[in-house]
Amino acid sequence: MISKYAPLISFFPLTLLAMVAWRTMDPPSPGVTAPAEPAGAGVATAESGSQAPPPPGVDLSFRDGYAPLDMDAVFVTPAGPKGMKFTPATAALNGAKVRVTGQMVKHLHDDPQIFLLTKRPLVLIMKEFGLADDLPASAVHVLLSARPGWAPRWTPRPLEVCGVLELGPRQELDGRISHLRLVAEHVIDTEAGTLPELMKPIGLQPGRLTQAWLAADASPPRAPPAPSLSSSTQPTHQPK
Amino acid sequence: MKPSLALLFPTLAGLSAAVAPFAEAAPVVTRLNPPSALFTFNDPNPPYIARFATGQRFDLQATIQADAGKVITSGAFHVDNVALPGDVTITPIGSDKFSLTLRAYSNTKAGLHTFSVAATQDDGVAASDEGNFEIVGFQGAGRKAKNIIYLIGDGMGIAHRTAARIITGNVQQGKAEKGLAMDQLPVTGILMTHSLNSIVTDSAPGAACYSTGNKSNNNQEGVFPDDTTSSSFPLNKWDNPRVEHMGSYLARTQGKVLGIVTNADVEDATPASFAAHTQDRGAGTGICDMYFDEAVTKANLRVLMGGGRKWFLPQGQPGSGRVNSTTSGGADYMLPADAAAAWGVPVGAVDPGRDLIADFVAAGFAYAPTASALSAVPAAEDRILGLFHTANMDIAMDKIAARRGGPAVGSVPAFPDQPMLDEMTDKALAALSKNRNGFVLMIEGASIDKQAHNMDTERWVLDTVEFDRAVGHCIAFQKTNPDTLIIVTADHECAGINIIGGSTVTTASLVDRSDDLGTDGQQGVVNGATGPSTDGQKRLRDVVVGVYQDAGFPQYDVIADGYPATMDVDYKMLIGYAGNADRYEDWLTNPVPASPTARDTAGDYFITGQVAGSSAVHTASDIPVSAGGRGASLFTGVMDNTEVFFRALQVAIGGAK
Repeated sequence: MISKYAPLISFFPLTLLAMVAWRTMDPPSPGVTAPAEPAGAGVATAESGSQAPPPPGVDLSFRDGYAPLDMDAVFVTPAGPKGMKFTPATAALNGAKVRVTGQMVKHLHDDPQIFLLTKRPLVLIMKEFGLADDLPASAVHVLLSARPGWAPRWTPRPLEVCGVLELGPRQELDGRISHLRLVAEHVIDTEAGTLPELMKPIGLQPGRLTQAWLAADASPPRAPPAPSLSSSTQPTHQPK
Repeated sequence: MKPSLALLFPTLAGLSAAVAPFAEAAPVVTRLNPPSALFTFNDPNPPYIARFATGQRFDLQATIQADAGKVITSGAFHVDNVALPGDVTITPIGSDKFSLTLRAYSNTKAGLHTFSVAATQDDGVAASDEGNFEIVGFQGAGRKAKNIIYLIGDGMGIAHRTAARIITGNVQQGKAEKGLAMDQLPVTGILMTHSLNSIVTDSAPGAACYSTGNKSNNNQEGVFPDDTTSSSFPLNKWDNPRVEHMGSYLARTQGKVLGIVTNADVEDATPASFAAHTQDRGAGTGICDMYFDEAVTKANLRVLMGGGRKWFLPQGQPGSGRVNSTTSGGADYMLPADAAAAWGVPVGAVDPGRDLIADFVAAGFAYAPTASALSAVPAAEDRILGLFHTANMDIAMDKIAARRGGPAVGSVPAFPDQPMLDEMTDKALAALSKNRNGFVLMIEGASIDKQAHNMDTERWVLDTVEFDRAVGHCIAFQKTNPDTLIIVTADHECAGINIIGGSTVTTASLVDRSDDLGTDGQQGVVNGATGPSTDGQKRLRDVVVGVYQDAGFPQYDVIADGYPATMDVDYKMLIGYAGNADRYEDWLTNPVPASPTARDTAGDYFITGQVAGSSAVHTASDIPVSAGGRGASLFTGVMDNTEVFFRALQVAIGGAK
């Protein structure tokens, strides 16, 4: 079978060329693009080994403080007969600052503070399949608690997330058990050369936050964030 | 039915409201299960919505709207004007509503029955209403089927079958040299697939109908809808009125055993629809617990294979998906006491730390986590639990590529040793056929649907081929076990798929066209909406999509493993989607299952979806059903999907010529 994307895929690690940092800061107004960081020299990534001119005005030197983590190397492979097992290298990074490159999963998460990151592009149709899905165990729950309610809009371009790694099971608002979480400090669009626009999280479905809060238990695993959307946000479909 | 009566309701309600200050309040029956046109439309005529086999168990349930501040204190159900014994459970469900249930009722008298509920308020005011159901009897008509095999290609409409035949059957000069295995089945009919609450079903009621004989709402498996749907009710997912599954019914009445095989997560809608009772098809922890707590003991579940290992691992184990709630996504189960008592099953527990694999092993199941382990299961084994992936198993295309020594894609690197569906089928048949009283086996080709949702042509076509190979293995089994009925069908059609023609250019040309940004030099601009970029249509549609005689006969090279050497042949088959969401298309195999709006963008050929979102949808199209073996002759004509259940039972209980 022809893999027409093979060149692109192999180029994937090489494409951290023009990166823009997304810094934690006060939540902006809806639809407002966060301002860029102060100007600074761009860097080519360690993965790329190549030098390409970054867009002006971006200082990515903070990345040096984050250890790279490859989602394909999170667990011992092949998987054992029962559960998965973190590699020693991954286990050693628990609580440390790491950076992970992957794709934002295209789906509607119940929790506005979270998006999912996987090594390869993935679409989840929660409405259709619930949690019976293709999500790999190595998926990273990216926590956006620093700026609740706001995240980059879904993008097909690779993202690099820098933050603090948390390992261990935690039940999320949608019922999914996360095993890898990254408390995001920076989100970097690795291809676009522009800042990820800060939108409603994966903000494609009006009312999704309201739906999530309605569906939340009386004693949810975590308190939902304060609503930050306009009052025009209304549910678009009835709960079952 | 008389929908005109329904249209009158708003008028009557308006009149009632107009005279409300003068009207005497009274409690009202707002829901009556099993559902009927008699209750909903005051229509006693067929088609009868609820039908049951003689002796098949089901729950009676009613919702009563009491007057404000009043309480329903007593209730009774009658069938054919005879009061039913047993305690009616009265549960307040808020807003002065009360749910009345009488569990695990059954009736052995064939024919139409009228049933009613009568409830009394604490001020003595009563409410009542009536509905009907049909009990289907089975006449002795010949030899019985000892074994029933359901093969369900999830989402597999007629065009999915045609497409699989075109890539494997060498169609030339108007004829297929080789048909599919399912084409060998001698009898074919047409099924209507509507669910209880929509013309378009999802997989839960679309599959549960084959196991219960009844309609249910979308997302629901083995139950009727009720009024405790929100998470404010701790048991909301688990308290619905139940309908007995075929597996349990035939285990109880004939000593048969049950097998469930899928290449999806085993908690997914189709497999769960043969054993679980829940209003939420996504309640994976509880559904998998039910497999063990109920199906192993009540339905003689002896084979369970697929993905979804995450539900079987204790929560502390990396990879586990077990949750600590009865109401969340992936919920665990707990039953109302009356349901557990009447059905003779455990009440369940919220136990995220449960090691469900250990429970199965302790019950005598051989556990196989890989294809190699499955192959090594001793021939004498009659109980097998196969969990080959934490989530859905990888699709056929990726498994085949790995077996051919190609790149490991998908989640194959983590799970490199997954069986194909026909290999799982062989082991299931070997284990189940040890039961002298026969078996019910459901085999699902799950990713036909999942990849059709994603409009990923090559992936669903190859999964259809994988499914068809499992059909072939069942046909071979039937030849040496003639008292076996094989039913091949789907739960619904997915994506409005059809074969629209063939490419008029070579693959090399498609590759060139798929990477050509066109005269505007822009990528992924939508049909000129934000620019002049319609050139993708010119390069990848206008001069590529060959229709009618220009489609020719696409030729695929099927190699020894039974699958085409490549899906990207010159002048390949082209597929259209009528249930489509937005997508880019370049007709070439996608190396990874990416979003339809994220892949193929370089070719700049954007196809506007007719539905919102990122996923194609199920359609209400009728689906084919093909049958072979004992009693296959009954599966012809155009029929409701629930009818398959009754015809299968006719063959199993009454026999067929």
